[in-house]
Amino acid sequence: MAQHRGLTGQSIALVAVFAGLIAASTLVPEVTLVGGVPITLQTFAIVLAGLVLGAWRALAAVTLYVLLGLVVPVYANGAVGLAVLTGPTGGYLIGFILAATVIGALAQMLARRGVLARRGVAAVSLIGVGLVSIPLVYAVGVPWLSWRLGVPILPAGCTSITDADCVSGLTIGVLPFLPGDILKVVVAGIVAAAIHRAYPGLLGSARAVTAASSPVTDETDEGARTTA
Amino acid sequence: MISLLGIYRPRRTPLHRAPVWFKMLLLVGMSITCVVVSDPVTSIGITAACLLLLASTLPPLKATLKGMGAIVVIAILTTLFQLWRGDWVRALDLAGDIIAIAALALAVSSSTSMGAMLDFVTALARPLRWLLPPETIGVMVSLTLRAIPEAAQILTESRVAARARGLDRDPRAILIPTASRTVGFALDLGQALHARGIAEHGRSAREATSSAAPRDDAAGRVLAEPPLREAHHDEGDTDASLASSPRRSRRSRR
Repeated sequence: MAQHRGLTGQSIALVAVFAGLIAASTLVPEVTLVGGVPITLQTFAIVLAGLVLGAWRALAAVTLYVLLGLVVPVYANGAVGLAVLTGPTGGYLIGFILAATVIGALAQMLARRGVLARRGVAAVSLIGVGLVSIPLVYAVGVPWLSWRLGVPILPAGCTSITDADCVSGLTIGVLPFLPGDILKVVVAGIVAAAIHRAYPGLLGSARAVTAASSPVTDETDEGARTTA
Repeated sequence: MISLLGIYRPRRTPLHRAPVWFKMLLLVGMSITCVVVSDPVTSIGITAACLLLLASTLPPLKATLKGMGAIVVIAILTTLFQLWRGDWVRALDLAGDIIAIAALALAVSSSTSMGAMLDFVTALARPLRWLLPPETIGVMVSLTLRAIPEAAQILTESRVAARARGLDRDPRAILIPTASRTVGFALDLGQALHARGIAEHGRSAREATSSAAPRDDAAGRVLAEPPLREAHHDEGDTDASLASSPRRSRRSRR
């Protein structure tokens, strides 16, 4: 049946393992950069899922992670699910789903054009695609945050930093996180380029990867490879 | 290090006995009410009711305080900010909303077992049947639970390896091996699923032969039993099985 064609064991495994990776990235302590700046890996894992899996598998992986968070404490800081999803920062989780899907679709477009095979261009273009995720996450997360905290989205008539009008969705929900997010997207782009170099065809036909990574071929794999 | 049990404890309170859909409906309804109603008195009343509901589920103290701690800090900051603007009605209303919804969400989490919640989520996903067969969702969820410790271990090992090379401040040295081993693990897992014929070709395979269905089910069940759920079973059922086994043997003796 046509709508189940992409649903191979491999896709299921990739979706499940990446949902697990996103969950695990919130459980392990953060990575410390040069200069002692700690970064958490959650955004990295979300962007990586989009860039590596493509649109629908990334959608499934991030949705699975968010749904799993309702039951198991896998959200940031080990928080328990429902309270986070319904809380002020819940919009970011919804934004993650949207962002991973969109950059997954864009990454698939890159793969179709053969950009990922070119060594120098791949990382740069993947970073470019990954940067699209940042405004998408904020587009959902910041209005939600502002609405729940009762602050305006944009600062209005802000003169000095101690002014009450300065507190807005933009200043508390975007600016503190923006540098870290850009850094994580850059790292995710570099890592995704390495993954696509190591496993070419991950964004193309699902079968092609299995066929390429296993020495044994049968007639279905050969059929898939000729179509791929 | 990693506690995956959450704050659910098997107990016999009214909320534990209530069906999951009722609790979720209550949560959604309360969230909408909190947002729509902006009267501080109602808000405080709702907050008190939610806190009482949370207390009625007898949640584990430490985990609950940890869960509420973060949200209370956010509520206090919001309140201080609104007070600073001189809007004390808004301050009370918003703080009440935030704490009420968090308390109710925790009450639902602490009174709903993981199995019940997964069943509910699977039931919600049933309209998506044309997109994803329901048993595939079950396989995915259990594989994800299995993958979390695996991914955490890969991440930790990659970090140790990077440190051994003196590169523990270089994210690439940690994350490229992590990601590539994770993808490799997923591809191996995919081949194992493929070899067992799980979810291959989706619905067409299931409809073609009914004899294949039980085999699919059996394979799914083997995979669908993460150690976690077994732990839950042990916790919840030991008393019952211990209590019932002598009774049963007595009955058989008769």
